[in-house]
Amino acid sequence: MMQRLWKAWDQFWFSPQNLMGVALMRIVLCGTMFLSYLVRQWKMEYYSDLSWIPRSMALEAMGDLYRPLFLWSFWPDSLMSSMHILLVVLLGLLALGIGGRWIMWMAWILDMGFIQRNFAVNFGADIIAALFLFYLSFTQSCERLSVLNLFNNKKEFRQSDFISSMMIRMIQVQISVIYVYTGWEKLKGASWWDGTALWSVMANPQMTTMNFEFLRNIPWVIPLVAYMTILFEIYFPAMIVSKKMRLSWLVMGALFHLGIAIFIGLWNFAFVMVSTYFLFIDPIELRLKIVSKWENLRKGFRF
Amino acid sequence: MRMKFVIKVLLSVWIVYTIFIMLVMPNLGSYLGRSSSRYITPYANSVGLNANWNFFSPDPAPTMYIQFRIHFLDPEGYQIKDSVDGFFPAEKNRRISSIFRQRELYVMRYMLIDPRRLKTFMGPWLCRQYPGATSVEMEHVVETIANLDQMVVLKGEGVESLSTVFQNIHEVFSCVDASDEVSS
Repeated sequence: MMQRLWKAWDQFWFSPQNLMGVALMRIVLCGTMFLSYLVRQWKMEYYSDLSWIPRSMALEAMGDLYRPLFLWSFWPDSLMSSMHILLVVLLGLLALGIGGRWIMWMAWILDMGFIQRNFAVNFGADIIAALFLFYLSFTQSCERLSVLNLFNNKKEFRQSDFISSMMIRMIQVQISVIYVYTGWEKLKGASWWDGTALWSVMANPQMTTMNFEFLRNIPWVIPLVAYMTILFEIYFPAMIVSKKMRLSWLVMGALFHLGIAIFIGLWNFAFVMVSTYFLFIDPIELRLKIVSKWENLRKGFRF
Repeated sequence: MRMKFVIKVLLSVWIVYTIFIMLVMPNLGSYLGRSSSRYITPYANSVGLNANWNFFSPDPAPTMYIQFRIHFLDPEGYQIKDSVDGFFPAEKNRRISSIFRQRELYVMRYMLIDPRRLKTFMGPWLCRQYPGATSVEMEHVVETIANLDQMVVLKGEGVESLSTVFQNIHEVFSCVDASDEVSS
């Protein structure tokens, strides 16, 4: 019995996996972080004593229960700009597939340093991206889809080692936990029950990219999308486990995040979240599906 | 082979520990969170697992901003320069269009989650922005969002005209001597 349980556990967490998904995730995640932090480079005063949070209070700013043991930003504030350039360069290299675990660990440490140095200026996407980068830094994410493979004319690719496999699973669990929690939190809100929560977002001029007052003419859309959002988030883990529902749920998720990006302008958040979707798609299966659909389509046109 | 098995067992312990943290950390106020916090928070807080996943929940935030007034007084309390009024973020109740400054919306929310932060972080920062300032008054201003039912019925009215404005917190910070700070 114990042996069978261990075998199932071992199979789930440690069995080799195709590294294409993790490579796609690396490109989207590191590419998004690269662009986001490239913009941040022009605001290095956020990370100096000229900002709201002086270095001496960086830890205090994080609240008693959420305070880390130490600051990852081991460098002085005078080096912030140089360290930030280094972070942006490392993320750019990683997006191209140049580097590996050590480079990604370095990028993660630098990233955490900036997150902790001024906790007040973090987007939600920064926090989530850092967490995913942490897990990703233990994987062989640069094995595939690397520009180096083009130069080396690499044709044969390894499958994941057991640590990469484990971290791929951890990211899958992590994204599911994020969705479920945010769905549960919404269930606590009166406006989500009422169905009008999205109106509070779309009518808030601080949050939206344009004026959405016209939605008052089609008010039924608002509760419909609100309830679909809650259902999507809460049932994400269950639907993702189901092979039949997985692809539909991922497409729904991609559209959901595209909506958030277009209407609320949270592009970073959208890309960071959707980057994990590649880990749920079997690249071989997907290719077969797309090829067969394409073939059917071609046949259809022929007749 | 045996070494690999031992590593897998150790990694399995880490998996269980991390998943436990993932599930408990966003609900740290629960009994399970309170009773296990000392075993999980040092690690969770150091690797970034210390997040709450409450996007737009329990309810989306209303429009809000910080309104401030900077005073310039002499030691006798007479005004030596006109006071300066402003908002943080400067856009007040509008979207920050500059991609370089969008983080300021998050700074504002960070300050308002715990009003003590206005005195600890915002007050001293505003004093530094206005050299010679003697004190800073800060208010948390909330503009409610007109509800959907109203908007559907009152077609001629805009969101802004049906919104109610109220002040939530009022803090005063002394730029001259931080220990003199008072609040009301």
